[in-house]
Amino acid sequence: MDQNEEVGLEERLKSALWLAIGKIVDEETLKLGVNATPQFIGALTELVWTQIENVSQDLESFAKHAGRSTINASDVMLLTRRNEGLESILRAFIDQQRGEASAGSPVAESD
Amino acid sequence: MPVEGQPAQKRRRLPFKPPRPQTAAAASVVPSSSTAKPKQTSKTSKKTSATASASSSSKPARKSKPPKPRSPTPVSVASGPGSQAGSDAESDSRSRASSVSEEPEYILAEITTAQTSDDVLSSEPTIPSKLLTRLLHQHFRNEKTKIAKDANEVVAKYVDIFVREALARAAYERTESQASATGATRSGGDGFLEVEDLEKMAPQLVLDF
Repeated sequence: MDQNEEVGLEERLKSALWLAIGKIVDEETLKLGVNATPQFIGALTELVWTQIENVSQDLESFAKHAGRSTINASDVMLLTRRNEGLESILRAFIDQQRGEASAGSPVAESD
Repeated sequence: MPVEGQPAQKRRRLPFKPPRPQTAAAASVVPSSSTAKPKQTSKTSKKTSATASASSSSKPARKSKPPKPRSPTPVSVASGPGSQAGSDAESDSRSRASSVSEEPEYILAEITTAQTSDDVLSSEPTIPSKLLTRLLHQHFRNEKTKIAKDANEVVAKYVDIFVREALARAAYERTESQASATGATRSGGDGFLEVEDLEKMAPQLVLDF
């Protein structure tokens, strides 16, 4: 019973992810001047699902290593430690985010 | 065997051509404009002395114009093969025509890359944050683990970039396989991204993220 529910939940979550990814695919394929087959979007969804699985467990480990149970932005930045281009993009995104919500929630900076 | 050689060349040309002319052209434009001008003036002055009688009618008009408006880059391109020894005006017009037909491709490439990078930097992540939170919690091993709101947004951006990068790389794989398909017997897929394209670039993509 529990397993069935879990499988059903996973399927529904994957469907939701599929929808979200499909929107990005539509957006990007217009820019790139290509089309994507439904099979491609499905396979991409599986890839992203697996990536999110890895990322979430990495983030959990990073936070645990820092003695926290809440993941913060510095943990996410650790994900990009091997990709400088990605790091700069996400760093800019965080700066932009903080600029917008400077009066809002202050975030502890560890680096 | 020769079939393998042709796609390999095409594969190399595709990634190498777009970036290099940008930097090479940008780098060469500045020095050539400064270096080509003295060359021109010295060469034209030599020619005025050598072929003053032949083209004396056209020289005065040129002498007043050349230093500023005369396109410096095409001349420097044309000066390589030594075509300047012949008719100066003809080689100029030819090189101009050829450069005009070539340059727009690079300019287009520059614009498209600049646009995508701008979008990546500016655009908000399209992945719904609540969905992502749910997905992350689905995979946490410890039930007590939480994620801060801003961190969740950053992960959303991360996933967004991941998907866009996957699409860009898949589209690149598609153009490559189409380029090789024109040489081989395989029919082109009309720019449809296939699972095959995803499979080709997935390992490197996952390593990069």
